[in-house]
Amino acid sequence: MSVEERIRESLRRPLEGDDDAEKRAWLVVSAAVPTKPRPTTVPLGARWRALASLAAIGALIALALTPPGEAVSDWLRDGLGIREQNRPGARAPLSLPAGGQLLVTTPRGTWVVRRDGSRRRIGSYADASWSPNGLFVSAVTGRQLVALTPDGQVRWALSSAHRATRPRWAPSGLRIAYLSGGELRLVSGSGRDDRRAASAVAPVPPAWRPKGQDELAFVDGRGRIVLISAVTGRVLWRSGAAVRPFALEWSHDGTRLAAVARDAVRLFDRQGRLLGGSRPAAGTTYEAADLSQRGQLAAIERRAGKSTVILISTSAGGAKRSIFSSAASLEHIAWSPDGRWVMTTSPRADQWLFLRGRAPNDLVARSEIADQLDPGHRITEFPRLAGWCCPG
Amino acid sequence: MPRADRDERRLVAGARAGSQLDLEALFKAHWARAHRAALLIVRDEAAAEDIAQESFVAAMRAIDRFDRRRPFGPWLHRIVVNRAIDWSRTRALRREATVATGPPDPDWDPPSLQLSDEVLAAMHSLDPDRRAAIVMRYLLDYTPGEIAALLEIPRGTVNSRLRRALDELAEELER
Repeated sequence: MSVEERIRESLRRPLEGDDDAEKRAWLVVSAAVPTKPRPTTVPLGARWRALASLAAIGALIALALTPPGEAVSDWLRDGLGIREQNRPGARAPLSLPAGGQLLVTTPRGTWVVRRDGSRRRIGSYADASWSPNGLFVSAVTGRQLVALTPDGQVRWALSSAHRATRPRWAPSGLRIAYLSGGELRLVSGSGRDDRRAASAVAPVPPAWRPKGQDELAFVDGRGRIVLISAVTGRVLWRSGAAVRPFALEWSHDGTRLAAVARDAVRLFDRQGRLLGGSRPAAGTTYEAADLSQRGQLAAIERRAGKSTVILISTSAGGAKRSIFSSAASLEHIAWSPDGRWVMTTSPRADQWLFLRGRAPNDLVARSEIADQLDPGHRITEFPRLAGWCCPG
Repeated sequence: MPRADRDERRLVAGARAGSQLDLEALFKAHWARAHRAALLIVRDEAAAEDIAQESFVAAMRAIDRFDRRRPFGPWLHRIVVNRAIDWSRTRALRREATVATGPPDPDWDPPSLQLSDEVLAAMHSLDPDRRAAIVMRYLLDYTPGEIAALLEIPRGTVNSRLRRALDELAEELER
């Protein structure tokens, strides 16, 4: 056999672990490349049966809504499982006013809630976040970091030396950042190459810049913002003064970084230059914030137990306006993927509130949240909003 | 046009339009060779996996610039091989990837490929450019002219790299 023949044969011989590598890589590629969901094929016979059922249901509803039919309306509701939102004692559905899926964590479980209000418990994790296209979830429990599908199938898990927190999937889909033992760590989207990216960091969720090659902002132990390249490890910039934010939020185009601290929102450009910001009124603090795809920062201002949801423009010098006030405290905040709705939570009222940013106090409420997501248990912590993803 | 080419064009068009099924089929059709090519050039399992998957993602993200009359394989292989060569050349620098505000992680030592095959072991002696030439010629089946076009180097350079690589490998295998 000639040298060339030997080479050709050797190069093509399968190696151990090739299949595993392919599975891991597909996980990363499918998370990174935008696709549309797989179509669900319904057999023709089933479609006819569904149409016939809908026609029958429609006829029954029409009958129930006419005066002679009122007597059968209760029977109809019970028989078909239809419940009105405003019936005394009835559970309001968890349906969302905009597309996408919610990721919610409770002390007893992590849930994916779909637009129609249907929900699935995917496990019990302390914190979770979506992959860029919403095809996977990264989550943490104890010292474990896991990647799983939205139906709860764990694709991989790794154990860290310390408790893992704040997992955040890079927009490229290729990397996940998380915190553990005071370190910022990076792992590939397939769960390999877990390594330290920085030590002595603050317990603030790291924030991936939406554009560019995997640039990651985090807060160091002195409260300064640091932007690194996850590809080269280079520090791209570091804020001069201690900012001490509790949240970092990038604009959709990656040109603005909002650092949200209790006493101020500061806006930086992508080179780390301070552009401006916004301060709350005296005696007021910022409590939570999320940046929309359209460049508006939604934040909760709190003063003596009263909460106000405000919108801060990241492009107009930090101009702000209030869209909702509550005598009870509001906790979490998230924009809908289409940037039209702001969601916040009211633990005392046990409600999710969906605010339309255009008009003050224009809202949709969903009630009995804790009971629906944590049924039969005493509420120790209100279900926490971990993300609203993705357009669909 | 051969049926395989038509099928691939359909998959590329579907993936470009956002079909997950077509993307998966395209991935499955090309992953093994792209991964193997990267692995043989960089000789580091983790890096090869990263390079192959990042190349696939890069190829899909730049798919609008891809000439759909051409096969997808060479488009992907060019990205894989160039990235693998770059990675091999800057391997020492890549350890900086752990440095940010803290010192490098002393526990992080990327595992390298352990090979029992004589030929693959002998390839270790080649520099990355020659390894890449061998991989493109004998794994990916490109002619020297095609290799030159894909890597944008003169054909004479390809021939020279192949000749020297074969001589070095023959010498290693005779030991």
